[in-house]
Amino acid sequence: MPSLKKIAEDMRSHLREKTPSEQEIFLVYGKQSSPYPELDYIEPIIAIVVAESDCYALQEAYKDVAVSWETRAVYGSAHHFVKNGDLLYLAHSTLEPYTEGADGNPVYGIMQSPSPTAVYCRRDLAEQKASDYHLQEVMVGDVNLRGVGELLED
Amino acid sequence: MIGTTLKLSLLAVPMALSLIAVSPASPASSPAGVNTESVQQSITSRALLESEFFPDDSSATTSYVEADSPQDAVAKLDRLDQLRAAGINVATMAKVNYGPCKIVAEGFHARKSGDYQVGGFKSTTYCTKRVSKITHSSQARHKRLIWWIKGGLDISDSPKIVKSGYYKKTPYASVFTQKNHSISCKSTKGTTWSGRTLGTIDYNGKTYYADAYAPIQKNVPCRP
Repeated sequence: MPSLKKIAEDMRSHLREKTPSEQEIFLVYGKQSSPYPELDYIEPIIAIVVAESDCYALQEAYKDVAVSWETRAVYGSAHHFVKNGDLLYLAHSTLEPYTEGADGNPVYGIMQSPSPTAVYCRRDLAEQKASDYHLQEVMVGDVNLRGVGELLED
Repeated sequence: MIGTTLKLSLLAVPMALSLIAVSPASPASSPAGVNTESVQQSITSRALLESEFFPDDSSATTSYVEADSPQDAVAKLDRLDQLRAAGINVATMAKVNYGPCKIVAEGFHARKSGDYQVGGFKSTTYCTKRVSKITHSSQARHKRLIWWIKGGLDISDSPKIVKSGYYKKTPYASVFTQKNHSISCKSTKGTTWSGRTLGTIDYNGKTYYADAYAPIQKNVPCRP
């Protein structure tokens, strides 16, 4: 007679096997000289793409920028095929000043080496799971060398 | 455009003084005083067992404590833990001075560019007061069987000027993220990674230390 613990483990294992895995996307970074006097360089996320061939294409297209990329799982994407034009939400823990606004106050952002802690496929999911993080909304396939997408205000 | 024009308040934000146990991987004698070299020396280079690398309670965020050296800081926090385990109200009797900062480390990630791959992790110190100096020294380790093996050089960083910033939507008077931790990957074989950052701050003429452990990341495509 199997123990209840063993039965529970078997059920968990079975459920894991039946759960589709989350998709992975490529976060593309672009290290470049800084237009902001306070920073010696910037390295924003310049794009999110679904195929690594797109990363190589960006590297080829922007030879004066040091392009690099990393894969990230997209939370909540197990039942949703991520494609160009979709909006994704990146959770950032830290914002740093990178320039001054017209009023002389510091402007905060993620210009230099951002490192999102997670990527979500829906805004409501991101707001629920990362409520105390700064969210960046990015359209898959968009490219902007100064940083793609925008930080969402609360 | 990925910026936001939020005006930073320099008012102190109340900070919980959590007593988090930290234990040295392998205490080494280190001179009192604050410089990057002394911090680097305190991170051992030998392979470590899980119980040696990770303390019993390796919570992600750690408070800075005033101490003569990183080892002294760890010893003080260990003593507090023992007292608390014995049911003693440490808040009323502890002779530990906490700094106005906390440190946290994030997970190890691998990044690719062309034909080469690098990996690293980031750590952040955030402070309710303006501090005069922040230094981070970080060491990544990867797991092979039961051992945690050093995965590259210890890498230190310190901002030229300590600036304000936001951490988890809260404005802080001083925020610093170490961004230069990077090691070369010889292959993309999936590897389990973590790391440890020793932080040092100077505040009001005193020196405070803390360390933070990066959460374990499994199957990272980076084998040194």
